[in-house]
Amino acid sequence: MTVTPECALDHEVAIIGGGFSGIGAAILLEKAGFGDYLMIEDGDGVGGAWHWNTYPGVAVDIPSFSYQFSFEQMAGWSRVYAPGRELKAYAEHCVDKYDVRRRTRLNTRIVSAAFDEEGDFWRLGTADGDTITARHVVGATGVLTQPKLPEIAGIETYAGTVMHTARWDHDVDLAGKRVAVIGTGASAVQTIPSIAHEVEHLTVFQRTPIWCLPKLDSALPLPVRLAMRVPGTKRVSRLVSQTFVELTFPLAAHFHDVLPVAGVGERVGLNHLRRAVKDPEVREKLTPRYALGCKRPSFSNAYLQAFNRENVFLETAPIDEITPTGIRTADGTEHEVDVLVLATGFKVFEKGNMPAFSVTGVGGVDLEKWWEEHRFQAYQGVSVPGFPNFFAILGPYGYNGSSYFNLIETQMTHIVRCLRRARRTGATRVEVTPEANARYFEQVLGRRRHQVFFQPSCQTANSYYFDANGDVPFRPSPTLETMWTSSRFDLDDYRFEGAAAAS
Amino acid sequence: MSPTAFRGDLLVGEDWRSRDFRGLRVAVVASADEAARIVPYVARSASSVKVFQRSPALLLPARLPVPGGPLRRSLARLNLRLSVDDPWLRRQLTPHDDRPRVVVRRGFYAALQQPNCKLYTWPVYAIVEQGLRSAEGVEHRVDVIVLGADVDIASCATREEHIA
Repeated sequence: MTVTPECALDHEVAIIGGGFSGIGAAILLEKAGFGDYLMIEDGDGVGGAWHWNTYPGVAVDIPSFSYQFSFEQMAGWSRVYAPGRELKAYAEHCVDKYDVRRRTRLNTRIVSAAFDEEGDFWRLGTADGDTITARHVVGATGVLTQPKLPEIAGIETYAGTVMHTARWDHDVDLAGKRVAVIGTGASAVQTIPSIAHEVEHLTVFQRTPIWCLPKLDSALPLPVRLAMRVPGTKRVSRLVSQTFVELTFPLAAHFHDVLPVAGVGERVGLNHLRRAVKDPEVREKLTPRYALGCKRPSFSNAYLQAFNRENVFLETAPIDEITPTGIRTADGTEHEVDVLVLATGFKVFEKGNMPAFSVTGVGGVDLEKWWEEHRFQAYQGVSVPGFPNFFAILGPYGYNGSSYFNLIETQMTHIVRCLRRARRTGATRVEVTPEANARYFEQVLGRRRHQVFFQPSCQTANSYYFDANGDVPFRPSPTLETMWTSSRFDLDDYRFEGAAAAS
Repeated sequence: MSPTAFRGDLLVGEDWRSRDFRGLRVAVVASADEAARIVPYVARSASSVKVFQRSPALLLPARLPVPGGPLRRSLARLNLRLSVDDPWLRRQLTPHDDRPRVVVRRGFYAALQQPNCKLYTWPVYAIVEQGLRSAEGVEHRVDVIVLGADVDIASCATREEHIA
């Protein structure tokens, strides 16, 4: 038998991903007394989505009072919906303050993770051929990370400038150019109004119209920001904003049949559209034909209005082909384009993104294959039987749709409880039992009939919420329930094994 | 001969009292007791102050007619709670031992929370040419280093010679 003493491992915990999930995991591990961690990030800076996405107009989609850690609330947000650079600065601030930077490895892409059954640890392979070993792994890889390129014929033959919104090239001058934007998702909604005024001509290629709701945004002038420093104010503004977020997504989507929120939202959305867009024909094209909530809705006070501009044209005919000089639609129209902006989003619940590297558990089982055979499932979105010591922040059925920061903190409560018991009992292997996992899977599927996703009109929504099996791996619970469960679930749902724990 | 390779000003003991720190980057290396005396003065004029604190002590802002012991410590803890809003900074300023000393010093917590001031809890490993290096390997570049009277400068210097 090979002996692998504790000290031979590089780290107690390896965190894969340096976005807000990774940063939150690092801080909460440190607070819980697990200081021996390493945060591994593929990019050349921390902040994840906010490091990569710098396209014009990038901003948060939910109020900033909710989009921050509960233990690190800022008084300095410049707007209710803060711009992206403030989020990036916030990430840097957290990393500095909690001394995470020292335990961060940038420019390191993980290509494989394999569980060593003899020594009960994970062996992570990097793209450079290095190996990092750690007892536990926290998968903080997020979902909106890998840009998805459209599968359109001829895209490689295009001779002009192409850029994906998530990899915006700020050296490209759009002034006086003919620009095409493919896609009308969350990124497009923010990009289009921000570039419309400077380009010569903007063509927007739309497949599925997005639900666009008015954004209750406003600048936070200095007096307000000073008032935020009064004790208790941050807490109150957070509570109000959390309630708003909770009502607009998790409750509306998961309890669609009980709560009439979606109906109200649709009326608000249609009203917003009617007032914003003058041309009835364009308005017709921008009207969604699926229920609100099937697909990620957007909030904007400028997106719909942009289509009133003379230099902005909405094209709904499907794209046939991309030529060296532009785009040809199915009806034979040629659009000449200088700059092609791909606002085509990210790989989400699909192969190659959950996570983006190979994960091999007990008995050489591959996580992706296992999920392909058994559908997406994970105990509370955190752990999967057969993959001990591997904890995800955003696994299937982990995220309920409220603030992402809630998710990070909730899942870390769960994970830290497991690690603490392991440390206390001397266990080296922590694995969720198949029974507990099956029970949870049954429970989430049982709540399906309440959810908005499974009504007929959603089939036309073309939404990234759906995976290959037609499942929507969101956690069908209100946020309070997720917080309660993560701190109260029975730890016997896990098996704690290993040298000392055997006794 | 200077005991270290540091190119800037190294102030030992009470030397800091008569100095003008306007526009300078300063590092203060001292025990909690000493730092609480030095930092409020230095932070008033220096452009940036990095405070390298050894183990923290509990502080009271004024002499109170309270006997030493648990009550005095609770009052000092209350003082910390009321003076420092940020839980992480509070945690860094909370002594680890069961019965920490209570010292009467005013203005330390307020000075630490000024934007030009930052607390480091990493021990100083060595004094180098352009400043000092903390134990996790970061080099902090400063113009002036203020050493508290109770800091053993020789140990820093000797260690540096080993490296060189």
